Amino acid sequence: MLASFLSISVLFGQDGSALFKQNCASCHHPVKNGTGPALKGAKAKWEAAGDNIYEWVRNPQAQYEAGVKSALAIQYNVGGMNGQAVSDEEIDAIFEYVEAYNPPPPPDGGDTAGGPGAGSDRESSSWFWFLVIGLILISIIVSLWGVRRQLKYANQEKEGEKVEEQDLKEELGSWAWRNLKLVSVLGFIATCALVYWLAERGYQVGVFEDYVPDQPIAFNHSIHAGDNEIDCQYCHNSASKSKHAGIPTVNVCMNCHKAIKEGRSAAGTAEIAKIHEAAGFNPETNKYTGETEPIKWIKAHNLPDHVYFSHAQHVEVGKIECENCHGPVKTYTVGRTANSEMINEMAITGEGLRDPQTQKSKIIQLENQVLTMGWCIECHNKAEVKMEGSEYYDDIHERLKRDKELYKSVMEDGKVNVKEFGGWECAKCHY
Amino acid sequence: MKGFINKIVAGSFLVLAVSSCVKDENSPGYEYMPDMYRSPAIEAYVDYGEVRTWIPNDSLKNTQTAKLPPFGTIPYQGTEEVYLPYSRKPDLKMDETHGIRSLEFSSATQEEYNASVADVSPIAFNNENAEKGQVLYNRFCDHCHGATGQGDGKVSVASDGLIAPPSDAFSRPEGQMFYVITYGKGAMGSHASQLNQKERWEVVQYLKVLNIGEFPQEPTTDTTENTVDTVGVSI
Repeated sequence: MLASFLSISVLFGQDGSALFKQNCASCHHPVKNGTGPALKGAKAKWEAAGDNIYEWVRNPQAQYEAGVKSALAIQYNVGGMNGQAVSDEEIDAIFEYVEAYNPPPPPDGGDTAGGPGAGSDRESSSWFWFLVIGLILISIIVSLWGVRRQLKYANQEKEGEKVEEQDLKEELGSWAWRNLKLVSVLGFIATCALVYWLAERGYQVGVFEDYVPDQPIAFNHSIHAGDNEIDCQYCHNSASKSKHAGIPTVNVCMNCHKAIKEGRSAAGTAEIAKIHEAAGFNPETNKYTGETEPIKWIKAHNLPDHVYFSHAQHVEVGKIECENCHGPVKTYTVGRTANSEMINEMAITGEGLRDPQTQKSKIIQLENQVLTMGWCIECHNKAEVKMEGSEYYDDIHERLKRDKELYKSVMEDGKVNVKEFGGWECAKCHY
Repeated sequence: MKGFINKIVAGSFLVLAVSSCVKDENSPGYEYMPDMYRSPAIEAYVDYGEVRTWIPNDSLKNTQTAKLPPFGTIPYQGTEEVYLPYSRKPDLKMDETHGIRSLEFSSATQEEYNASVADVSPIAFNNENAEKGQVLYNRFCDHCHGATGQGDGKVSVASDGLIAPPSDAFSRPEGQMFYVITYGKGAMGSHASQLNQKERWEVVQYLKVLNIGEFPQEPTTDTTENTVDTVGVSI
């Protein structure tokens, strides 16, 4: 008896869950207010008032017009509901599922960003302490030297010798003559260090590797693009149409975050609240207030004005993977510019980035630093142009096939490079 | 001699150690002649109040990244795709429920939504358009609606069924599916900012494929002559 009762209720529960998903879940949640109000307790309320909730579900407009008390009492998103084609039994099953619903425990780990800029704070403070310790050491050395000099003079005076007072410059000079070997070694090291330092700094001019700016909202790429597998171009949708990949407007965030109001952690929820503030959305009432607040994202990938780069060309025509320039974005907690090592590592480990037929990685390995001209040029030399099935190359392909000489010289290495039809011309990018 | 080499090695390590901890992640790095790096002409996403080597100008400073183009701006390519006429208005109260602004709303609840059943696609239902739609579907829809449209996308599953889309969503008339992509419905927001009109119709063609379970056998060209209203808002 008990077993059969249990099995029936389980059956009903499953049925209700599926029915709920099918008919109600796009607007309602059992315990949270969404587009429509939370459903838990609704049936009991209607029955207590002596009204027929079954008719309401099937035709809300008619219930309004008939002036049913419980219908008029609904304050949440008035008039928003459509009639649903469900029977009395199905409605019972749905409400059984709704009343029995318990929210699942929050998943462990997977926090949003580990606090913006945590790493840079630590590094800049260690630099500061180096400076302080250095200054203390230098002041100790200078004061000890002064003490030693005074003691020497006092000693000479006491012994009745003639005091030869030297100024600092003369004394340094004579000390250097006496320790010529040490001074020359130290001088050599200092010169080497200076040259090294200048060269290193020189190579960093105009290189934007590892730029991880703090953003107004700690958007986590690893949750969105990684765990939830949202396509890069859902948010950066102008990548296929324009020069810019595009920074999404807030309405794109709100396509999901209108319903997803809680992050995986308290920090994540706080970041989502910032989106709601920017969109002018009240998560309590689920309504837009119209009081919007712009977000100022920091652009991480900056190219100089004298070079023209188009995302549309590379993404639509060239079919270059986003990761080939932007690195393992699906693991980033904060948006950043990649570095060459990260990208080359992906060419070996990146599982989702292999050609399904040849199992060859789609990532082109490059040695130069990210976002430098050497890097662009290197790729234009290595990357193979896939002419088949791309109407963009029809014309150039025809011409190539007509000119046997040219065809032979181009196909010497067995493939067509970007370089071989003008990818190395200055005016291709600088105009 | 050995001490000499040791000193050089120690010295270089010291230089390395000191120079490696100056990297500030919030600094984009050094620029040589920034006046050649920074465009005097207006570029997207550049804050001209903060351009380096320029005297900081508070009046130029942005407080936002993405801006609306100036009123009356015309896209320089793809105009024929953007200006397919569409005259349906967003539903009443969509300013509150979907954040749609500066458009005229329909006069009664669901009026335009119900009327959109009669709308016919201006582009043909054929393999070519449906395949274009498939690419767009996998980019813009499948993380919620699932690869086959069963409402089992990763986002829907991860969010505890909160925004699970109904699995029979794609059995609606094509005009109504277009209306929903354009303005949103229920938990779904407007996707008009991400997909232009032609792309939205292409997605609709693929939704029809998902609904009937196969791509069209032979191209039907008779629908190309059907257009919706000639006057209408374009969004």
